[in-house]
This record gives sequence, C-alpha cells and structure tokens, in this order.
Amino acid sequence: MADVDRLFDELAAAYVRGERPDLPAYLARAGDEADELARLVDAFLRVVPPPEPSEDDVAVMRARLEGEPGLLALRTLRGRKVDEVVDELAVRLEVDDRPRLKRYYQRLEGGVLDPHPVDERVWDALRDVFATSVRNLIRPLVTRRGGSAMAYYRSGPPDGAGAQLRARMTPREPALVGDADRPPPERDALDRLFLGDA
Amino acid sequence: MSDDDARDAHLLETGRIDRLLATYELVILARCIKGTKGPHDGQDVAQDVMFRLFREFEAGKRYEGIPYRVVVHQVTKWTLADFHAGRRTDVPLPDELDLAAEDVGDGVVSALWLRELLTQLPERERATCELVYVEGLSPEQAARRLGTTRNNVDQRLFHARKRLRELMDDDG
Repeated sequence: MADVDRLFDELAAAYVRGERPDLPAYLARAGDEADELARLVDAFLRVVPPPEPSEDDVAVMRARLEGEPGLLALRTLRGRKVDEVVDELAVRLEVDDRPRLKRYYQRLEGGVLDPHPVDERVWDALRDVFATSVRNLIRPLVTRRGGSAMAYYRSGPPDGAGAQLRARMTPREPALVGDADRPPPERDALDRLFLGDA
Repeated sequence: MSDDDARDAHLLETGRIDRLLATYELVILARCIKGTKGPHDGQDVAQDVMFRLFREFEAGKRYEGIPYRVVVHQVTKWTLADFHAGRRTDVPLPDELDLAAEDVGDGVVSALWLRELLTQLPERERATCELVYVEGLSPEQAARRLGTTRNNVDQRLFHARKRLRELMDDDG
C-alpha cells in the first residue's frame, strides 16, 4: 500500500475517533506526496460529519477568541506548571540548557514566537506532553480589542510582530516582550529547534 | 436538514460559536492547506477564516436556511480567493449568500455524506470502510473484527479511497 494511503487511513481513523490529528505533521511525513494527501484529507473531511469536539478543545477555542494564546490556555486547563512542561521537554528533546529552553517555550506559549520555523521534533514532544496536537493553538484568533490577531502578526516590524501583538494584548508579562523574535547572532542546536536554520 | 446540520443551527442560535469553530477547525485547516499548497500559508489563512466566521456570527450575521457547514466552506473559499488575489482576508463578509450565483455547492451541498457514499460500494467493502472511516478502527483491528486478512482490508479501503478521489476530480 502506498505511504500516502497508510497515512490517510491513520489520520482518518484518528479523526473519527474524535482525536485531533496533527495534519501538518502528517503532510511532512508524506514528503513528495503531501499534496495528494492534502487533497484526499480535504475530500474526506467534506463527507464525514465532524465529531463533537472535546470540552478542552472548546475551552481552548473560547480562550483564543478572547485573545489568549491557545497553548497557554491548554496548559492552564490541564493544571500544568511551566516548569513541569519544560522538564518534560528537556528530556524528550535531549536539551541540557534548561533556562534557555524555558525561555523559548514561554515565547512559544505566549504567542510571540513564529510557529512556522519550529522543528517537527518540538511539535512531537509537545504532542506527547499534552496528549494532543498543539501546533494550531499557538496564536490567539482575536486580539483583546476584537481585531484579527493575524493582522497584527502580518503588520508588525520584521523583528517584533509577535512582540507588538503581545504588548497590545497581554501587557501583564512584560518580561517576554522586547527580545521576542530577535534572532541570536549564531544559532546552536537549541536555537534551530525553535527558530529554524535560516 | 441532517442531524448534524440541526446541531450546528442550534449551536449558532445559542451563541456557541466557540464550539462550532472547534468542531470545524480541522475541516477549515485541511481546505486551506489544500488551497494554498502549503501548511504555513494554510495555517495562516485558516486563522483568518475562523476570525471572519467568529466576527460575523458574533455580530449576528446569519445566512438563513443554509447549513453552517456550507457557510464554513463558502467563507473558506472566499478567504482563499482573497489570499490568492493579494487582498485583505479579514474584511466583512457579504450580507447575502446566493447559492446559485456563488456555486456554493463546490462539492459540499450536493456531496453525499460518507455513509451514503459507502452505500455505493459492495457489502464487504462498505462494512470494512465503516469500521475504519466511521468507527475509527485501525486496519488491523478491522481485519480481526471481520475475520479476514489485513491484505483484504487494504484492498477494500483502496476502493473507498478511489471513490473519494473521483469526488475530488468531480470537484476540480
């Protein structure tokens, strides 16, 4: 059986069981056949009645509609402390520099780190930690003033779009604002996990 | 109106937009990724679609008589068109949704739900597909349940996927 078929069957079965399959992760696994898998999944989702979301999914969506980053809302819902999450991440990602890992995690959780360059290993580790895909939860959907959060991400300066949004939305955590999204002069393995290679 | 459409209508009338968006999030994401040919742009456009749906329905906009799932697909289609044209993707939606003029069908209104789609398959293939694509069993579990081999299950699933691909082709 072709790889794309196997991936499709796996994703489809997870979806109808009410899980939250990580579609971008499946597409990454499909490699050159990602477009074909995307077409197949799209067609499938159009003919399958969507399953009821979990109460956690709904609560996280509500938080994102109130201007809160979804991962922060999910962690709060699960009653997990940042340090607990970072400890688990450090083990799963085999990272020794825990303080810097914590800073990256907090930036990701706070919605001030661009999620696109984040390495698949980080998403995999976070999925294991929270037992659900968190990739699409990073950004809020709406600012606290009711505007489009994506508009802020797009309109901000190159080195501070997330920080600008953060400053407007959640000024209660000023420590996270300022150095957000500012690339380090040289990237080591930990930097590359969260910022990519470029 | 199907049970699912009735559920959506009730959620909309009771202001449960958060639950509606959570229900359709992956549907929107899949369509946007397919429409942008890339997960990054797809994720960004999906955010715009959900923002638009939230803002409009929160403000009381309704498309009377049109199932919510159809509105979701149409707003996704509009937003993708805006994205490809380089237009803003967070502007207000039209007040009316003209089913005929907009070709809202786009494989949605007229599309058969999966259970109906499966009735077109022979009995053994239909039973296999229901176990995997409706109940969520793995192919191995389906094979055990049916008392057959994994290879047979794969063959039967192949036919269902072929039908899905035909649907995609019909839809362009």
